[in-house]
Parts: sequence; structure tokens; C-alpha cells
Amino acid sequence: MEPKLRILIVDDELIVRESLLYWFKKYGHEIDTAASGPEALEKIEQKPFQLLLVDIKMPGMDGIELLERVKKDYPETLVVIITAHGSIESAARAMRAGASDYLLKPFKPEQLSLVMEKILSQQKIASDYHYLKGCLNQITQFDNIIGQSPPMEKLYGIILEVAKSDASILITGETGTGKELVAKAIHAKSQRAHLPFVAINCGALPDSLLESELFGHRKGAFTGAEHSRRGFLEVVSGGTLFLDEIGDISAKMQVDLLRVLDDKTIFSVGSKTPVEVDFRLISATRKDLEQGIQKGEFREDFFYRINVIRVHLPPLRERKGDIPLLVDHFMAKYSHETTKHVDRIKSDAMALLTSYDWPGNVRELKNVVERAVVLSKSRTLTLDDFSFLRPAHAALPFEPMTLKEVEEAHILKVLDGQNWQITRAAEILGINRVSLHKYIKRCNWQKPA
Amino acid sequence: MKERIGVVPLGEVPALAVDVIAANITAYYRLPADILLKRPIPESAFDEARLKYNAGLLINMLGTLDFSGYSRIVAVISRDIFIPIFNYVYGQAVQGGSHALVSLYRLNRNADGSTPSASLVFERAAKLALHELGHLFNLYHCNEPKCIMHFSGIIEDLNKIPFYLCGDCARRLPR
Ligand SMILES: [Zn+2]
Ligand SMILES: [Zn+2]
Repeated sequence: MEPKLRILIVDDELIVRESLLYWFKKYGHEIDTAASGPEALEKIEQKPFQLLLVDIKMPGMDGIELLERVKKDYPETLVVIITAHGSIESAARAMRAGASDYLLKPFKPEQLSLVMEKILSQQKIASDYHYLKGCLNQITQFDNIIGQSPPMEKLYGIILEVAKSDASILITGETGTGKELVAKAIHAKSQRAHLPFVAINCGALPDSLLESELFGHRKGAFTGAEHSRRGFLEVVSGGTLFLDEIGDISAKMQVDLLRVLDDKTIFSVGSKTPVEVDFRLISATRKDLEQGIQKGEFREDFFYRINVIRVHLPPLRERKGDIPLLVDHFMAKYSHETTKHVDRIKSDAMALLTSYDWPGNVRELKNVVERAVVLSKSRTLTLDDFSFLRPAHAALPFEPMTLKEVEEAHILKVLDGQNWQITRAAEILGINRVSLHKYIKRCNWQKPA
Repeated sequence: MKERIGVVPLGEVPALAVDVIAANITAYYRLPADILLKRPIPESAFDEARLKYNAGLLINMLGTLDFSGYSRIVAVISRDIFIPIFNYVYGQAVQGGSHALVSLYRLNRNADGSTPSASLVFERAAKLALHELGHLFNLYHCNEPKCIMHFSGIIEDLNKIPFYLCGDCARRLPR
């Protein structure tokens, strides 16, 4: 079977649309038609076409204008212009504007057939190119970690470097920065790559359950232990153990793990027989463990055992240059998963995404793009699709503030914005000036000199 | 309805050409094919500007005629036919439809202007009919050069393709 294309036929004459429609149907191509330039743009906005056949002479927006608009917004779409005999100069204009070919109508069936052969080979080159581009992205992605910014380039170097050693690693970084992905990448580049990678989220498990997950238990060791179970420390056998949210484990668990790291043996719950274990430990935390030590919540000796090498992940706001790359990646991922054709984003929407501070980092961006793709009614994401990320909200760094604190900060901002003109500020705030005066007095605020 | 193909001459058409077409339909599609009474060419399908017959209008006209007892109709015409965007076509059929049309007009001249033998003209006519009938059976153009559903651009291309469907197209044929 020949490759099938999605083709849009644009002509104001019904008879031309129909004859081309019948013609292309004989090849099994997927065909749609539009009677005008604006109708064509509307259809392209809804779903992608690989080829447009456009009549140059149409009332309103003519074929050349449509061609220019399409080439500007959807440069990968191929356009063939149909023009009347004797207007060869307009055909030349079309070619300069980026048309792939032109047909002088009426044309012979074999002429259209030849043009289509050429288009199909161009289309093949284009998809090969996209395929290659995809491969290149894969390489820079470094096992699903996406980014080409200097902090990420530096991170890739660090991952390769630390993967060589067998020392314990502590990955630090804010929530949503991809600590588990980095742990997996280190494992994948290490000598233990062919052995298991076992990840446990310590923050999600109560202490007793965590203990049995890690160390396993003998049958009857506690109520509900109907079978013996090997713990992850044993299951990981030679691989990498990834303990996420290590800052959340209890003091007792810290002691137990410290002993495992020293002795390389474990006793499962309810058993007296030691089992030898071998693994590389990678831990991760979003907390400041040094501060935890000062407060006496985290054992210093355990800290030094897990923190032999430190890898810090930058928050997304420190590598905003990667946001377009990430947005493209998530857009493709969720378009694929939802089988929707959402493959582009308006520049003002992208500007909003890059200006936002992303307190939840890559994970938050991922969720935001997923939500936008799922709800989008067209193939292009617009500012409206991200209206829930209001700029006012975006400008406020996320801090665990009380309502009172937010209120004070907001009133101060309005006052500053109005140069402390009480009447105007009160108007904006929707309260009367007396109330505002009282508020200022109660807070002991002074107009800045 | 069981498939039964009617081959109908439109206007004056050499009887032998119609016979050859019907015989080949039976031979290659293994379907009964009967030669029907000649019907007049509706002059309303003639395009004064192009001096040719509009294939789409002719097909529409065929749809208004009574061909009871026949599941598909292949009409044969000696005049030159076109569809609006093209200068001419050799044949026309609506994908998955019931009426097809083939024109003998361009079959008796080679691309270089020489005249082919009568037997070659009949061969071309038969292939054209088999190809258009394939469209009625909802077969698409096929990439395989050794297939009747391969698109023939210039007349010599019709010489190169075989009478039969390739394996892929044969499997797609509704049974
Ligand atoms: Zn065909
Ligand atoms: Zn075939």
C-alpha cells in the first residue's frame, strides 16, 4: 500500500473540490475540503494535514495569502497551488512563497499523479527528519531527563561521573525536580545497570510497614504476616536501592539502616539468621537534612553514610530555558496518550509558561500541560488553556503564608502601587478610606520615605 | 444481491470492444457479465467549451436509468470524457459506487502518435474496465506495478499493467 496522506482541498468551486475529492479517494487518502481560505485555516487549526491543494483564485483570502499564512504557522505542511493556464507568474509567486509545486488547470491525470509522487517522497523525507530529530532528543534527554540548559548539561556530566563509583549518593532538590529519574539514570549508567533498581518512597509508608518492606519478615512475625516475605534490601540483590524522602524516616529506622550499611547483613523481622546483602544506596530528600541534624531530628552519623556524594537538582525556575523543550515533550506525550492532535502552542501561552515560577517544578509543568491537552478543543494550546495559571498568581512565589499574611502583602503592594494615596488604594481594594487608614495604623505601617 | 455486471454501450461503440470487456470481467473477477442494450448519450453532458463529455454528469445520468437485475454497471463510450479539473480521463468510477464509465477515445493512439494494433486497443479497453470496476469494489490505487489497480498515467502504462489484481488487492476484494 502507498502511504496515505491527510489532504485538504481548498477551492471556492464545488465542482473542483468534488472532482479532486473523488480522485484522491481512489488512492485511499484521507480527504477534507474547504470552500475558502478562512475555512481552511479553521480546519487546519482543528487537525493537522500533510498536504493542502489550494486554488490561487478565491474571493476574499486568495490562495497566495492562505499559502503564506499556512507556511508561517504550520511550516511542515506541504502546499500545492492550482492556478489557471496563462497565469504562470502567479505560479512563480507561489513557489517563492513556499509552495511545493503548482498545477495549471485543467491538468492531465498523470500530471497530478507526478506531483503526488514528488509530494510523497518529500513527505517521507520530512517524517524521516522528524524521526531523526526524535532520536537526537532521546540522546539529549538522558533517559527521560529533559533539558539542554547549562545546569542540566552540568548535571549530565555529574551523573556520568558519579555512576562510575559505588559510593552512596544523596540527591537533593525541591519536590517535582525529578530525583527518581536521576537516580534511575545513575543506576542505568553504573556497573549495576543489569541488576534491579528498587525504589521506595519512605515518606509514604508508616514505620512498621517500611521496616517489613525493607527487611522482609518471617511467617507469623506479626499479625497478618501469613507468609514469609523477602525484603527489598534482599530483593535488590546487587542492584541499586533508591530511598526517596529519606528525611521522613524515623530515628529507629535510621539506626537500622546505618547498621545494614556498616555490616552488609540484615535480619528479617522475626528471624535470627543473618542474610548478606549487596546494593548501592541512592537516597533523596526535598528537606534540608543539615538543619534536621541541628534540630536533632536526623542522625549525623547516618547522614554522613548516605551523603558520600551529593547531587543537587536545580529547580525549574533556574532553568527556564528548558521549559519550551519540556512543554513540547509533554504535549507529544499526552497527545499520544489521549490520541488528540495537540501539537502546537501559541507564543503568548508559551510566554506565560516561561514566566511562571513553577513551585512544583517539572511535575507541576507536566500536570499543567496534561490538563491543557486533555481539555483543549483544538490542536493549538492558547493562553485560555492556561487561564488557571493567572499571572497575578504566578508572580507570587509559593510560600506557606496565612491568609492574614497574604492580605497584608496584597494591601502593601496596592499602597506602593498607588504611591500611598489612600483614596485611590482604598478604591482598588474595594474598602473605604477610613477602614484602610485604621488597617495601616493597626499594622504600624509608615509611608516609605 | 448477488453480483451481476451489466456492460452498456453509450451511443455508437464497436460491438467487439463491448464483448471483450464483458468476457474479461467474467474471466478475471469470476462474475457473470451481460451486454445490455445500447443507450443514447445525453447531449446535456456535452461541454461546449471543452468539446468533451463530462464524465461526472454521465455517471449521474447512468444512476437515473433502470438496470434492475444488475449490481454494477460498466458503461462504454467512444467519445472523449473529462472531469472538471482534468483535461481528460480514460475512465471514471465513484469509489465504492455502482456505475463506472470507460472511454475508448484515447485508446487507439499511442503517445508518440502512432496507431496501435486493434488487439492492443481491445486489451487496453478491457484493462480500463477491470480497473474502474475495481474502484466500484472499493479497491484503491495500488503501488504494485503488477496489479490492475496500479494507476496508469499515460496510455503506454496501460500496456504494462497485467489484467489481474495483485495478491493484496485480491484479498481486499469483498467476497
Ligand atoms: Zn483508478
Ligand atoms: Zn494491487
